[in-house]
This record gives sequence, C-alpha cells and structure tokens, in this order.
Amino acid sequence: MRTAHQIANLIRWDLLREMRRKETLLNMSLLAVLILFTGHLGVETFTHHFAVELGFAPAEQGAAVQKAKDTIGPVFFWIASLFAGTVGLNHSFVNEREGTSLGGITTAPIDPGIFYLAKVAATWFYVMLMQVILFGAYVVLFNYQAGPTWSTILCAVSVFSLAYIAPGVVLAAMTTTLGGSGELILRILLFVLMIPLILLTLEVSSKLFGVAAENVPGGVLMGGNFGTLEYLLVALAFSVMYLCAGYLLFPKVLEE
Amino acid sequence: MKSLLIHFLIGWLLVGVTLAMVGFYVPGSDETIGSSYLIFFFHFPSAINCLNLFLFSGALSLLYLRGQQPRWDLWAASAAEVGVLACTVTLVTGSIWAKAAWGIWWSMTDPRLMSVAVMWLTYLSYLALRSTIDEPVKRARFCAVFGVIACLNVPIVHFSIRVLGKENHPMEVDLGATSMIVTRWFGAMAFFVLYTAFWRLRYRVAHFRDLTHQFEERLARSGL
Repeated sequence: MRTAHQIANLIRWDLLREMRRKETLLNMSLLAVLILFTGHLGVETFTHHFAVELGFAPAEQGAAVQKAKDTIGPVFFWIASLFAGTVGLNHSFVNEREGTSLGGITTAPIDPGIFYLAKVAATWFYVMLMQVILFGAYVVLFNYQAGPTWSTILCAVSVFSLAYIAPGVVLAAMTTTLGGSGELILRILLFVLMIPLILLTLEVSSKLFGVAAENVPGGVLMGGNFGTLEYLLVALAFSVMYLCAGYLLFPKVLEE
Repeated sequence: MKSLLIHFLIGWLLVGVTLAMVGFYVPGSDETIGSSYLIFFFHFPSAINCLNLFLFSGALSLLYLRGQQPRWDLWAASAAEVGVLACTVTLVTGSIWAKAAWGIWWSMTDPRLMSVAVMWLTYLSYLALRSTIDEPVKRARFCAVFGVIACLNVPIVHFSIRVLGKENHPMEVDLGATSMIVTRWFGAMAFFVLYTAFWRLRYRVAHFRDLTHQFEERLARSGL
C-alpha cells in the first residue's frame, strides 16, 4: 500500500512538472505527426506516379494509392511512434539532469526501483497521449477506416509502448549523464534492443490495419501462425521481463 | 605471456586438424550444392562460439554489478569484442553459403540469419557505448547494465524470430552423417580454444591500457 502511494506521488509530481513546462508531449507529438506527414507525402506521390506510369485509369489510380497507404501506412505509424518515443524518454530525465539531482535519488528514503516504476508509468502516460494524437493524424492522412478493431489497436499500442519504455527508462537514466552524445547513443541502444519487438509489432499491424486478415497465418514475414492475441501476449511477456530487469538494474545505474 | 602463446598454438593446431578433417574425412562434394557446403564446418563453430561468448559477457557483466571488480568488466568487454568477431565470421560465411544454396546473399525471412544479425548489431552497440564513455567506473557500470539487458535480449531475439520467420536455412544438404557430426563438433571445440585465446589476448590489452591510463593520471596529479 505504501509502495503504491509512493508511486502515485512520484507520478503526480512528474505530471505536475510536465503540465507547467508542456514540453515533452508537445515535442513528441509534433515530431510524430511530422514523420507521419512526410511518410504520407512519399507514399502518395510515388504510388501516384507509379500508377500513372503503368497506365492505370484515374479511378484505378486512386484505388492503387489507397492500397499502398493501407499497406505501408502502419510502418510509418510505428516508425513515428518509436522515434517520438525516444524524445519522450530523453525528456524524462531532463529535470533531474538540469538539477543534477539524479544521484540524489539514491539518498532519498525510497527504493530506487519504485522511482523507476513511477518514471515508466509517467513516460508511458505521455507516450500514450502522443499515440492518441498520432492515431488521429493517421486516420486523417492515411484515410484509415477504423472498424471494430479500435480496442485491439489501443491494447497493442499500450503493450508495445510499455515494452520499449521499460528498458528505455534505464537506458535514458544512463545516457542522460553523458551530455550531448547521450541522446544519440540512447537511440542506438534502444533501437537495437527493439528489433524483435518491431518484428512483432509489424506482424500485429499487418492484421490490425487490414494488410493481412486475422485468419491468414503470418503477415509481414509470412511464416508465423499466431493470432493477434498470441502476439500481444508475447509482447506483454517481453514487457514484464524488461520491467523486472529494469527494476533490478535501475539502482545500479544511479550508484556513484 | 608464454601460456597465451601456447594457448594460441593449440588453438591454431586444432583448427588445422579441423581443416584436415574437412579435406579428408567428410565427403568433398554434395549432390545439390557441390563443395560449397564445406564452409558449414567453419560457419557452425563460429555461430556456436559467438553465442557462448555473448553469454559469458552477460554473466561477467552481472558479476561486475555484484562485486564491482574492474577485472570482470574487462573480461566482459573482451568477450563481447571476440563475440563480435565470431559473429562477423558467422555472417560472412553464412552469406557465402546462402549464395551457393539459394542464389542470394541475404534473406530477411530466414530466422537464423536475422537472429545473428540482430545479435551482431546489439553487441556493436555495446562497443559503441563503451567508446562513448571516458570515465572508467561509469563506463564499467553502464556497460554492465547494458550487457545484462543485451544478454537477456539474445533469447528474445531467438524466440521472436523463430516464431515469426519462415524456416528456410540451407538444409538441402544432409548433415546427419557421423563424419559430419564429428567434424562440426570438433570444429566447434577447436574454434572455442582459438576464440578463448583471442579473448585472453584482448583482456591483456585492455588490462595494460587501463594500467597505462592509471599511470598517466598519477603522473598528471604529481605534476610531471
């Protein structure tokens, strides 16, 4: 009970600070929408030129462009989400870096693991808000016909966000002390760890965003025979594992 | 130094014996892909040993986090360096074999190629992290934390790609004959001895580099 109270207090403290500065969410959302917008421009322009070159009739050209958007759109959605998420992670320790108070957490009368869990929860909350804005932009730009899969998409986005934020917070705590080079190395370390998750995400996306039907085995990689629920459970297992590792390793990062 | 030289000598000798076994013990050519399948006897030992070295690196990182002994960090870093070398050999020989078996250098849908490539990228990032941090204690601690996460990621990569990918590793060749089993496991053992010699060498280099830095710092502090 005391632990839950401490976590809630730390989250509240983080959210209050963000409400004052309004920096993290704004920057993340802006970057995510810009990436999505650039992707949309690329897909639309190239597919249109390609359709014209192949001699498609004007009505068919529109259908070809929409098909390309449906197929490639989810890739841009996740790229935007992951890139913008690293901005959020980088910002998650900006106050501690400015106040040089990261080491001070070790002297505070709380378990550093609790601090880690609160940081994960607060960052996850910002990233989820960013994803809602991003998804709105996706629906508009890629003309996505959101059907009965709303809740599954929300579930997938929540689980995958948690899976990259859990190790991301540990890495951000490390790289935040490295100055200018820290931001770059954070992206390198996080992206390389996220490759398996990206594969899972693309597989789920191919079903959720309508590229592959639910009953068709496999999607992007054509080989799996899991359904959406199984993929989500695997991603959830990864998240839990990363959370446990993060909880145990975070105090080591703070040691002076 | 003498024991390291002997270690290298035994390693190269065993690799030489593996080469002789590939030349005289196993069939020289296969019906489907000809003699190019022989690269497998160098590809498999490197693949097994890169996994071993990455697991050693993870375990040593964990030991460092428990005991904060600088030597564990140096051993872990050296294991990662030699693991990256073994992984590079695996990728290169694997690509050559894939070209002979499938007609292409690389396939995104093959789980094993993907797993090894992801591990290679992960440990290259580990080495990048090491080169970014100058302060020895901080470098050791952060790299140990990432080393443990990277080691945890090895089974995740293996599992996810196995689940998602399509199994089309070049298995047109039947590698179940006794001579082939004996040769490939002998090769794995020979390369293990050789890679551990490289591991010891890299540790010595890192150890002496550390001592040199300490000496330079002492000189600087004393105003010389």
